Amino acid sequence: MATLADLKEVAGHSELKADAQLDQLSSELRQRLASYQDRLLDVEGEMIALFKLAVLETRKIDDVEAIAGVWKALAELYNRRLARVEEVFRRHQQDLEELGTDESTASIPAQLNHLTQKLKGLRDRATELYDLHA
Amino acid sequence: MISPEELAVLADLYARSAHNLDPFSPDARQANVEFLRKVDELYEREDLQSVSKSDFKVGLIRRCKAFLRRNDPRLGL
Repeated sequence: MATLADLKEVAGHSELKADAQLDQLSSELRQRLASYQDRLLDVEGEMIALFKLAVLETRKIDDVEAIAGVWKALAELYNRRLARVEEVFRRHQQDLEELGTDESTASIPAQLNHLTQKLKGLRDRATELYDLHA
Repeated sequence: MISPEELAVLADLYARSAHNLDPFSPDARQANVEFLRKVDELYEREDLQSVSKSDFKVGLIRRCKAFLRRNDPRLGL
């Protein structure tokens, strides 16, 4: 027959287990967000590298219509990326708000905002170069 | 008739805009605006009835590219 002390012990274990599970979940979420931060930096680097590649390629092309085509395609790509980043931001907003006070994740909204601004800048510049050659 | 000096100015503006590797460069955006303003000016001055402004601009870009290739192989590539 279980004594009151036994029950307290079981309850205590159960609580500790629940705490451990919550800690683990939180840790997994933080790891996912940390890898997400790395991915954000990768996306920015890739998008800027694509721009530079397009400049170098279009320098070699004489066909002005083809140059316009390159910039149009790139502007569309930036637009699609922008829409994707905004969608991800919306989807994870609640998680981000909950974790916003932690120093490892507090910078994510700012990073997403930074990436959004960079993508808008890239899209606008690619559109400008399309208009220049169109 | 576009003078060689005018073409040199246009080519410089074009290169500063279209050949700039920095997508966030204020100078590239400024050069872009100035290039288009210059194209407008020249189009008005030349009074070409049979050529659209867009075709005129494309023709000028071709000439700028040829100019850059002749005068600055690094920019013209």
